Amino acid sequence: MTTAVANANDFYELSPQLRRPARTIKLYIFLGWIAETTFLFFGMFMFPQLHAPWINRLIWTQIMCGIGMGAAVGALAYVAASGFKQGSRAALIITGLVAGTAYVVCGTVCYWVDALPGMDYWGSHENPALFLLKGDGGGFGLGLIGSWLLNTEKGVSLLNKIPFLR
Amino acid sequence: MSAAIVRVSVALGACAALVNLLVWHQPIMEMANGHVWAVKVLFAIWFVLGWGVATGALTGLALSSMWLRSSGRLSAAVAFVVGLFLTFTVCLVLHRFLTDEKFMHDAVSGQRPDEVTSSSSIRGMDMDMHPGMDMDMPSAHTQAIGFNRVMALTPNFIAVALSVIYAFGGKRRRMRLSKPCRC
Repeated sequence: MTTAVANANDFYELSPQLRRPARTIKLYIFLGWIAETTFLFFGMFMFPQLHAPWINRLIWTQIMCGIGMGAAVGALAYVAASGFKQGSRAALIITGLVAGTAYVVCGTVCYWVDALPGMDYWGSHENPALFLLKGDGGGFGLGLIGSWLLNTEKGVSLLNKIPFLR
Repeated sequence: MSAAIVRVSVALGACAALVNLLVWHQPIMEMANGHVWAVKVLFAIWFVLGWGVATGALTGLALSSMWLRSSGRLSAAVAFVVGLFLTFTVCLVLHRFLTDEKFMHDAVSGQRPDEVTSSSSIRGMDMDMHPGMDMDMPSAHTQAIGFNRVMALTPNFIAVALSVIYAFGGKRRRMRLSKPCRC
């Protein structure tokens, strides 16, 4: 639903329902990007011996893992929960589960790549439990946090304070 | 309408990824070859997520933003260019990861490529550490070279073009222009 404002020429004030798909995707891109950047720097601090070149790793973690996977997770979460009213219990559960599961798939592939011989970029050989905790546990948690932000009053009021997520 | 644009873009993007996965199955799945089927399934899902769903979502985001501003031909052209740029950026990074061994090493390896004695070391050494791997697994990226960049991006180009036609096509444009004013 779109509501036209005083000058009905081209500017439209958007209803929350109309903003929902873009908001869901943008939120998960934002969360994914923050998580990936944190993991990158945390990994460099925890396992400094495993970090050699910079630029290609930065391209990979920011574009593919942060923006790409965030967009994919946001789209899946939106498509799965779009049949339910935003803010409903069903939307809250389905958005969280789908987004969390998608991040877990991503984190598991990441763990498997890291565990390959000759790889080991984030310490899956040194500390596999920590890797799984940040990848799968953190990923699922991220899905739940995104769902909470999108489907609860407190969460939405928090999102409204962030200009590009309004 | 905004929701429909996103849904259609995501569906078309996923179809493009599935087409690529079918046509270029061998080079794309090269990395997972020789592993248990669960790893292959996860890797295939990851590829479809990255190559298709992510690019479709980004295209849908660009198209719906432009569509909400204006439904003119200029907006359609700008949306097409932006959608294509976002799609190609993600696809080219993923393509490079699957085909360029140096990039893959820099991106996800703790060692510099020159520290690794040979390309086969990625999958060749310490095989006993990974019981899920077959001993006859081919060396890295030997077949990935056949994964042609232009051909691989063609389904995504078509997906973006179809998404733009869906969003800015005649019927949708008339729909947007005839929106009732709720002043």
